Amino acid sequence: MQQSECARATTAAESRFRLERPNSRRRSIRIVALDPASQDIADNLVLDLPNAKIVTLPEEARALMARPKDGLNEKDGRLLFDGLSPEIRKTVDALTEADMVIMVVRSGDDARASAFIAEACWPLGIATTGLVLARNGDTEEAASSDTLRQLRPHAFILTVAADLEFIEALIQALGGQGA
Amino acid sequence: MLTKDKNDMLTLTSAGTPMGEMFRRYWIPVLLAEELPEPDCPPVRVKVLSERLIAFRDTENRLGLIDEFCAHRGASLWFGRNEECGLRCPYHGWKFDFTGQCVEVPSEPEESGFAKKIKLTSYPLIEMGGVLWTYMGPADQQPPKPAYEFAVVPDANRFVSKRLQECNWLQAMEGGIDSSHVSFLHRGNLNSDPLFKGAGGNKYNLNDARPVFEVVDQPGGLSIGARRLAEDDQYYWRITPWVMPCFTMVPPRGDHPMHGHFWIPIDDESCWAWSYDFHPVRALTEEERSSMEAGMGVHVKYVPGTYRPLANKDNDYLMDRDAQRRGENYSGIEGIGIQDASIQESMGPIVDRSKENLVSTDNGIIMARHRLLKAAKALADKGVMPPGRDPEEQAVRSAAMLLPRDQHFKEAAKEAMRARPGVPQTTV
Repeated sequence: MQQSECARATTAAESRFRLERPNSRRRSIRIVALDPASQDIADNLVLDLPNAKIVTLPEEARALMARPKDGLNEKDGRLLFDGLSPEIRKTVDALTEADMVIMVVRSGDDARASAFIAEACWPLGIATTGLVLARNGDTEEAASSDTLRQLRPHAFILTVAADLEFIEALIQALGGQGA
Repeated sequence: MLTKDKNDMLTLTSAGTPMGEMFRRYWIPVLLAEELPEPDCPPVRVKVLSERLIAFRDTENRLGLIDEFCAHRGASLWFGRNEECGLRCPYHGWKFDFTGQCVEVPSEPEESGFAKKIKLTSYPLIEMGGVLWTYMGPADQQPPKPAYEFAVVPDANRFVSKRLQECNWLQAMEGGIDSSHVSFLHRGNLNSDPLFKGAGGNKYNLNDARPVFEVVDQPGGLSIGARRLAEDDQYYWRITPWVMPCFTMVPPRGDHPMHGHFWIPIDDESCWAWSYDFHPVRALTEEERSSMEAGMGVHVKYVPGTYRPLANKDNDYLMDRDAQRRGENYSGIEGIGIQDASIQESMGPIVDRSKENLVSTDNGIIMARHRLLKAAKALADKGVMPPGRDPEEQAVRSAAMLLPRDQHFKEAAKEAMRARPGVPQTTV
């Protein structure tokens, strides 16, 4: 009886003929700590990805991002990014040149800067990911924290991780493919 | 994406491999109880974690799972005569008891004690919840008996099936963790399958094809919350527990029975996809049970006399392009289980994960891989027992609920996700 197409196609022998050429362009990733107290998370990441960079929020930017409506103009409920100081402009440009922005924060720390980052990124089609590192590995507490509540509306992916290694694994998984 | 080394570590499960050793630290389902229906019934071949074994129920109703091959000259004990408290090889009459101990070598005098020196590898085999479970690890590390809720409810509340899936266990299990595919691959079934339709929550799946996932580390594995937009400033949450290494439970729909899966490696290129349905507080109705037996819901129709799905790769899964065009189903394949199997088998015997492009909805998969790798490495390097062996970690439920947008699912679902006897599921 003739072998069906699916039966032949799923053999190990046929797997040898899959294309070895890249099927995507490598995604560029920016990693940003939302709170100065969480900066160590970003700084201690061990990554083997040339396309991943850490962006440090200057104090001025962080303060503004925590209260964006105090210092920025709005139109139709959206923040306007005109007239930013050079320091903040530089930070926004560094984030928005990426394909994906990963926001890291420890549970209990301030995640309000995520609102500003999402406003800057989403209109440009840049995905935002929120990673909350549970303090002392207590994921139950982290999953109920204000930090997660602040982050939730501004991230396409949200994860509460018990350890730093997961954050490295996630970034590696999302950023590793492509030429 | 994963390097080849990490992919191998996750996918290969024979003895001595990191993931193989990890699987060997759990009770895992290997047979339906119906496959060994009575004492002295015919023995059944079992291949699990790349080990070939034979299972039998002896004269005194004791269950045995031993090396398939006679210690004499390697004949298969599938031909064995199951009689008088043992399995006798028909070649030269060597007899083995349910522990694999050779109890008779007819050609040697009993006084020689020859038989006492012969013992086949054997693993404990127990019956719970209509399933026969085995533990293949060191005896001194044997965990407590399984505590999954489906296995402890009354028989009338439960239905269990298994089907052969012809690909590696991990790509099958990853489909169970990723609920975003339901809005596409299973779209046609939500309103037609008798075990799915009519639930209030179905409309959210159909109206919002872009769920946002929140994944939380748990002691036994993960809680994977998928939220979709709902009215009145709410989210519709569907929360899936994943208990290591391979147990999941699908969030409930209405008052339909709850269901879920295990994926147990047969070898590196095939697995058994176990599917269970149960209701925590009532017996299954006649209609529900007959639907499951007819291959509806997560169950399948079989090639007669086997546990191989009737729709399989040898008949192109009975693909019906006209049905696809008419909108009866999304992929042209009928049945939720086969829709999954066809896609997952098409990835190849062991999918090459070096060419993936993962997206936001793959968060649960990324985290599960990380947890599996971490646990396998900890066991291999330091002898640390992996999570998911504790009865408390296994006695979990899935949940579906509507919550205000600023409420944490983990907080709201804490009680709902515990298996509580006599308490109905939390559902929409």
